Amino acid sequence: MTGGPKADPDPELEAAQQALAKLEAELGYDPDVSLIDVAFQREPGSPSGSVVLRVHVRDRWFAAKPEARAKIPSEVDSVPVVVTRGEYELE
Amino acid sequence: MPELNSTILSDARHTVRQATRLYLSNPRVSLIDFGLRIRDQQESRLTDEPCLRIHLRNKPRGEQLEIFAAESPSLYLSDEELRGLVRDRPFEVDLPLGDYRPNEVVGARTPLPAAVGGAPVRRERLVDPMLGGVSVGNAWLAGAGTLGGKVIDRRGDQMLLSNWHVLAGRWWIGNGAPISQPGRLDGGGTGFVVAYLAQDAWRSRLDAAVARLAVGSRQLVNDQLEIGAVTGAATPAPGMRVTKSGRTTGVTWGIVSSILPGRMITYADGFPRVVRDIWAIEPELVGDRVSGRGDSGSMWLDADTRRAVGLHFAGDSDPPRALAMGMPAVLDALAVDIALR
Repeated sequence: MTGGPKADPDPELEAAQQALAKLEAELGYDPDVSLIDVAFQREPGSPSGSVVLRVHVRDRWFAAKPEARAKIPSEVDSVPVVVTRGEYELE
Repeated sequence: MPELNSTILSDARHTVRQATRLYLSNPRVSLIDFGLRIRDQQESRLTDEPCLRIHLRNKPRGEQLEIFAAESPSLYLSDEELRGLVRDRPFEVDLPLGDYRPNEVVGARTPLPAAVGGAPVRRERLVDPMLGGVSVGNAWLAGAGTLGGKVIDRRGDQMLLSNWHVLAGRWWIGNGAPISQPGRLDGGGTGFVVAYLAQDAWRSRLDAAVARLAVGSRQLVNDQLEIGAVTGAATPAPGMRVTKSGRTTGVTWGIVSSILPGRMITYADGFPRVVRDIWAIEPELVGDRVSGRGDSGSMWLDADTRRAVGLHFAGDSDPPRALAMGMPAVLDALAVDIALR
């Protein structure tokens, strides 16, 4: 009842999963970071969406001086990293 | 109109999801669906030709389109890309003009009447019989969230599902605590007890809990206010169109944007707790609200099948985004199933 048969593993998603685990280990407990997930990101001029690591950061990350805030890499194991605002509250 | 057999509809669903992935973040796009071609230069008349429809907020034409494509390549939907979407499909792409406003009622987005057994229902009031989408909370604490829905445990006992931070919310509140419908914030309390806290899912790092219905309690039915009955459970998928019925924002729609779920730290009771298997949900229409305070505990359903795919627990308004834990993980952790009756 909770889902259908499992599809063959997708190499791109497997690579993203491993990169996600690495980035979570690095930034998952940083107070600037609220969530890290994997999403599609469409780059300007690109014909299709690409898989990216998405780091959701709190307002304090934007407000802090670059040297004082979480260092977010531009990619992890060739998987691009994008930053999005995410000041999530329990609802 | 050509016959829409199951193969075409399956292709259509797949293509809509592909298009959603491609254009989810394009602010020109207001809606993506599958329907009859719209002649928007002929008073939006419908033809009998089924198409993948990508509704655009603005449509420059002729020379203006060329200038637009050169100046805003990231917003431009190229012919090559659009052709690729429907390659080998028995339908084409339509780009109708459509600048839909939040809360506008459009076709399938029309909610069912807010009524139970023909009687009008207010989500934050006492509701009989109880159903998903109405106020609930711990009878001792001044708060309110959303009653997610009806589940049954392995013995067949009837339970209501919501978040731990809705049904308990304090470390000192244990199993057996009284649950009120509506929540105390909405006028409930110890005189409105309908269930008792039975179990939480923190051992599995999930902000979820179930409460067993009290003897003689009001009936709890498998229904979501203004949506309908839940038909089962499924794993969220990127591009999936989802809907929820919540105590504060009512029925809203969204699109699952995560491909792989993440985890985050919450401070539900002042202590850091890791929550895992989190899926992000973006509004279906740019600018729409997806959730608000008091919606925690709502079930996110696959809008096509009404299978429960997520349990809402958090959100942000800028950009509007809802966070839900995957429903299969929640049900497994609590050893319960969706009650289909």
